[in-house]
Amino acid sequence: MKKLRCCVIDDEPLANRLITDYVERTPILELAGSFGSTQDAVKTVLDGKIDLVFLDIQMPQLNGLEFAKIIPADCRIIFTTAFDQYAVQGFKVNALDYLLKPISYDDFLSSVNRAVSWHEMKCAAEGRSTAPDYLMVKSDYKLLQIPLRDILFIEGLKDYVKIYLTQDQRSVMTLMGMRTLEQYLPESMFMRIHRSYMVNLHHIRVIERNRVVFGSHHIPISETYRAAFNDYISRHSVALLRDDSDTD
Amino acid sequence: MLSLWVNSTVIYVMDNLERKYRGEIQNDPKAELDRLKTQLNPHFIFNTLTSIYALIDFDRDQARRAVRQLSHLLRYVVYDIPEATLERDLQFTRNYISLMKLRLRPGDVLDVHIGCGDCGDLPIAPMLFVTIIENAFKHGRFTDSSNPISISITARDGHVNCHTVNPYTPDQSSDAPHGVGLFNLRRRLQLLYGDSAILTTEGDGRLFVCDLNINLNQK
Repeated sequence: MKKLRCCVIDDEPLANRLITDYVERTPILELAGSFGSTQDAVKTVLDGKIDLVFLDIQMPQLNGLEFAKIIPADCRIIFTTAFDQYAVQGFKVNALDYLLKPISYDDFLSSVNRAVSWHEMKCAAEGRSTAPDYLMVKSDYKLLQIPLRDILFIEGLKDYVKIYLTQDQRSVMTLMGMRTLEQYLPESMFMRIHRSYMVNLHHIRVIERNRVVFGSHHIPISETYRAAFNDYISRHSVALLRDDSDTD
Repeated sequence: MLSLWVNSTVIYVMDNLERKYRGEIQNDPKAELDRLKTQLNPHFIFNTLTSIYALIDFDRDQARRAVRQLSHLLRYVVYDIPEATLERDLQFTRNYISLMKLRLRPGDVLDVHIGCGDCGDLPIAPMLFVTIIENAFKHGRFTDSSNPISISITARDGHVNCHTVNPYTPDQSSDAPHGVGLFNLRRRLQLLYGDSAILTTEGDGRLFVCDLNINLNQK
């Protein structure tokens, strides 16, 4: 797993040094910087791709609670303080945890574990959403970038695929197998409904007698893919659900 | 827990002291509250404990020294205050400064001169200097100025003078940057010494100067 990039911000030099030391001896953490004031930390925290900040609350000028408000949302905060009067406030600014000084390494580690599980969740979510929303294909000696949302459906032809686009009934032919292309397309958007056809679910407007209709094109839903396709349709169909309840 | 205990003990001790110095008891609850605020700041104790906790890893000898100093300091606050003399109070002040030094950053410079002169045995209301010194640290610690925090306490012929100079950044959000602590100190001085104590403060936007003169020969 990727290390979590951390910042330590504490105006008390010894408290700062201890937390910094804890960070350095924890393999899952990477120290991006250690600062004696919020002002010194601003630059790194705002553009340093920081995952986790250990933030003291009681600091002169811009204190930890005020500073927390400008920390990017995808960066989590563990407050460190010698006084508990700020605890409730601390959670209001969406802190991951709150550590009361003096902080033992055990307490530190249990907070870090919370940060690690949060980070794993975040990475998983990003992995789903960072798939590119376009396709690069070679056609007629040109490289074309096709936004996925512009694709109506795809037809497999021997060694080629023919990509039908939403605009002007245009299509693009490219040398590629259906199976290869399928791997580049998000499952949530494209579905195979026939050995030779894959449709963009977002563009389905009419289904008629086991055929998906795109203008003049009638795409057959073959036996093999029917169950999966019908399942998708019933999950998204308000009308069918209502019909069911009416018949009761 | 510790802070509550120290505070309540201190309130009790302070009551005795006010009697001793004024010959009367203050019953005004507001005055009680203000007196409470003049005491050792619990933040100081917790920050010091946190620093010592870290020192155990980094410098055991210094950690031991700091525990001794904190123990002397608490002993003075808890037990010895009724018998406060200038010498004892200055010893307390030295311990306080030593512990505050743990919280200085590498660039901070501190300049301290403390002596009781020929007045060591004179009784004095305890912990009058701490507020002033706490302020000097609080505001002097985070300015980029090359000026040191300077603390001087001298005494002669029954007159004691505490003089601090620290760099500071004027706080635009407040017109009294060294507000509450010094305000309470002023009230306490008025109560204890009346016209025999003079506290002056002056900030020019760059350096803050605090000067306290007390005539201990009063009465």
